[in-house]
Amino acid sequence: MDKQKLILFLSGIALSGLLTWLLTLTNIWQLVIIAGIAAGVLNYSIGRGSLSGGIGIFLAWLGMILQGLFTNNTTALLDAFTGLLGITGFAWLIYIIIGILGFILGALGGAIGGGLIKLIIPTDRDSQ
Amino acid sequence: MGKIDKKNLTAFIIVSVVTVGVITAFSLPFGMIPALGNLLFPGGGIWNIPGEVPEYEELDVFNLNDDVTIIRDKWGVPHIYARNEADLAFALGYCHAQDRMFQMDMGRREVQGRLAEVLGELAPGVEEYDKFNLALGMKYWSEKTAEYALELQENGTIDYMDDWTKYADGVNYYLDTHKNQKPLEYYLLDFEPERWNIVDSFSYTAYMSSMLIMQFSDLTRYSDLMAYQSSGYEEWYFEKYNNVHPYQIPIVPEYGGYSSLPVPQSFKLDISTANIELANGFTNFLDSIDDLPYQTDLLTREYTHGSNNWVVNGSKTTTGKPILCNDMHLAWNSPGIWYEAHLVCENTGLNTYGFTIAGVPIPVVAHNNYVGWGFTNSGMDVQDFYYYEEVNDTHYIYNKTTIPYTFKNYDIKVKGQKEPIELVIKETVHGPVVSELSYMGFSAENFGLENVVLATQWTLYNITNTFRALYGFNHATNLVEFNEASKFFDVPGQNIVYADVYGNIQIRPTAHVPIRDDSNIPSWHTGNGTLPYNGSNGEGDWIGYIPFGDLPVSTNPIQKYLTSANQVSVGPDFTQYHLQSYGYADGYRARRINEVLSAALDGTIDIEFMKNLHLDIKSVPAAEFTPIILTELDNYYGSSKPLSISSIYTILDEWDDYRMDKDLVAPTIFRVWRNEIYDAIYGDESNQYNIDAYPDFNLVEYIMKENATSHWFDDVTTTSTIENRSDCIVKAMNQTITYLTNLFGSENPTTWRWGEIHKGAFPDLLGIGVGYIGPFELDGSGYTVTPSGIGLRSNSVRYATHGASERLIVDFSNLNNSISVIPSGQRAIQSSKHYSNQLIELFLQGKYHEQWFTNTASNFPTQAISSQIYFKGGT
Repeated sequence: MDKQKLILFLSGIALSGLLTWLLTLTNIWQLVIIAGIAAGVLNYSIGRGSLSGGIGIFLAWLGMILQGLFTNNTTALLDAFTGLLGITGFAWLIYIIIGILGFILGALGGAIGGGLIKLIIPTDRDSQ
Repeated sequence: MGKIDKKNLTAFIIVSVVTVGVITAFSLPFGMIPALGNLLFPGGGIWNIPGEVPEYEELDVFNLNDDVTIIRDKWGVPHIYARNEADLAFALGYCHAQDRMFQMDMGRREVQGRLAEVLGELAPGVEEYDKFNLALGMKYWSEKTAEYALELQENGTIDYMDDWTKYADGVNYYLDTHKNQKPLEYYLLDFEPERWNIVDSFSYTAYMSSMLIMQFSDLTRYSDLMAYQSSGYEEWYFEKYNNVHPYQIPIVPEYGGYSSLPVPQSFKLDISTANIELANGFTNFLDSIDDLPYQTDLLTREYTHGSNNWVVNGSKTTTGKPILCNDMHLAWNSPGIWYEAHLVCENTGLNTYGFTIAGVPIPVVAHNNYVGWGFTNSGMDVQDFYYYEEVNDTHYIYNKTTIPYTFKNYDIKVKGQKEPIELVIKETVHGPVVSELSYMGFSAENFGLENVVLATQWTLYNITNTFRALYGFNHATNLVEFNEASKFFDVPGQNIVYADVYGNIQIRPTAHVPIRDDSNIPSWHTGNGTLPYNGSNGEGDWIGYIPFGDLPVSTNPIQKYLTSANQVSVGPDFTQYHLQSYGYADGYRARRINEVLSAALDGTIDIEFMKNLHLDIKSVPAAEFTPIILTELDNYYGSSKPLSISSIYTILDEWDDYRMDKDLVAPTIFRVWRNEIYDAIYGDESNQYNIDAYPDFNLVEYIMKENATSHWFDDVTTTSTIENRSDCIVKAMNQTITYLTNLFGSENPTTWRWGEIHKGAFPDLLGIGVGYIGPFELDGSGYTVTPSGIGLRSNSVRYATHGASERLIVDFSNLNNSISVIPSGQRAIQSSKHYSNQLIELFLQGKYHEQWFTNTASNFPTQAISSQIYFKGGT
């Protein structure tokens, strides 16, 4: 990865992370896909966009998870939820699943963003 | 711009489709599982649920008259300081919504027949329970009571309905300002809390009453009567129901006591006008009630809800002033039913600390600066059943005249169903027809008689005034004012214990207790609402209620103390009216409390003494029965006891304090033997003659102690021998050993520790494991002052899920010494430290907390403050 792409990749992570934080304020989790799309657009690549968006949302959600974990005792709520599934005490598993899903959502958004920008502004190589 | 790359396009389309699929999958619920994205993903759901209330908050509230300060103490109890009672009510509503919104919501929905609307498939058949509650008229009469209260306000009779409206405003203000901070259960069930209104608050009278006074024993008695008659042993019916109370110590001491000898009332019945087929119908009806989905304990409620209260006057205490205690025994839940609150109003001088029900604007059990009170359930008979001949779908015969039913129509919404269920309730002059509720699979055919319907009447089927009583109690400054307020306490029937700072003590079993017209009942009918009435013959109409002034009461008695533990209210000298039929306790807790209080010397009782009595675990039945068991084992086996019996004998012989201590083995043996002795004595007759011969346990005690040759000891299945008390005790003990060997998987009785099987649990409100707490090993039993009852099954034990729902000790020498505790926490948010802290840190340890009964916010000790809300009003 050349330096410019690396900068864009890292910028994509930062942008998607920042957007994730902002979009959570809407309380509409589905909008988080926009953060991934932004990373994809910035990277102009499905592959790097996916990775960038995935990591960005994952890190943002990880931060929120840690915040909830240490300031709001969300583990108790997740334990209560796992009680519904008959697996009380498996809050840690839910945290892991949330993190993975955050990455997946970011990756999907990044792929959409990367694909979309390439469809809108195809390079010569793309059109060959 | 170049051409679109097909590979890019394909990838874009695939990814987009997958993305839509993923988002959709996490946005939609699957059966019981809610939309997981809404619940779990950061930015929504659980991440918005505040574990704790803010440590400090200032809010401008436009519809408050003045400023209000809410201080939550270290246990999360709100101490609310306002200048007027409307603002006080507003703040309490805010606190209730902040801490207990889901509980409030479900309570009103239960009364209003709206559980299916939010539970749907999560609770299969819950719509049938909604139908049942609607049929019983709880919603209808809650609305009528609210209308009546507003009329009283309009005509100037009362002046506090505006406060109740303000309470609803407080709830709604919280909901409006915290839309994204719903409790977890709302996310799981995927619905929004609706706004609160004044009818919702009035629904709670019905909520508590249905829990405490609904009973079906009239029908059971009728079925029993017919079964006993069919078997040829109708005189046994009176041995079970003869309405005498061996060893009972009545609540009100002024009407005499009961000797140890029951009055025999055995006589031949002429039941030629009774109808055995009808009894079969009642049995069918009871079976269907027992199978009622979602809420299955309707038939057993009356036995599982008890309570204790007692009070001693100043001559008994170390301070010269009364001490009052109360612990109401109700179902254990997380959160518990009670919410502690301290309400202070500068303008009116109100300063009251007590147990509120979230949804109700005023404490139910409390003390203020002058008086205090506590409740136990009185078990008064306030519900009757009537059967009628039905002419057609619209008419029935009442008092030999054909008259039309009245009808009420309801739509029951069910989550997941497009169309609501239409419910039509028929009503007779007495009350709703319950025998045609389709969910019971009940019809004239399986009723046993064609064209017969069954209706019920109860005191809740009316406008109630209990809210006026509660208001009066909280504002009373002396005994006269308290008694004046007591006149309005019409439902549910309670034994109200009272004390004040002037040294008075009092106990008053009170309620609207119906007087029946028994002038035309048949000779076999025992009257007074004890059996169902033939409505078509005009039997048993209610012609009024026992006048308040004629109800029993004891004020400042010679014995210097008063107590109730759901035992019989009055002695044999109370003859003017009929108070109770069935449904009072068999009196063991009351005997123990009386034993301790009567033995206490003057000037010796203090708060520690009362704590110990609250936590007392001596079993009176164990104390009465164990010596008999040991004697009979000796008589039967002599010196050649088998090893298994010998070890049991030693354990019981060394058990000299009869404490149901979780670390001992003897309580385990005695508890199981208590079950087995019932079967040994009454099981044979019950099976042989198809009757339910099992009486209250104090009647077992009676024949054990006073009539060792009672016919009940004989096993009717053996013809060659006549068994006696000794045979039954030995048989029960051998069965006990077999049961416990199987249960513990060990023949070694030293492993049969009571705490291993005597455990309590605190289920979540939904009963689906969302916040379930426990189980915990517990001391005590169903017959100790500290109550908790496990259920023995064939090869397992059901945890105790009811017991003390609060404990309160009020010291009238210094109200700041008063202490209390709930088996839960204040805040029904699973992630809050106040979700279960009183349960874990106090209740299970036998501890209490201070009440910090300070009359101004500025005097509140800073070290006890956990959070503070400041409402800036009038802006």
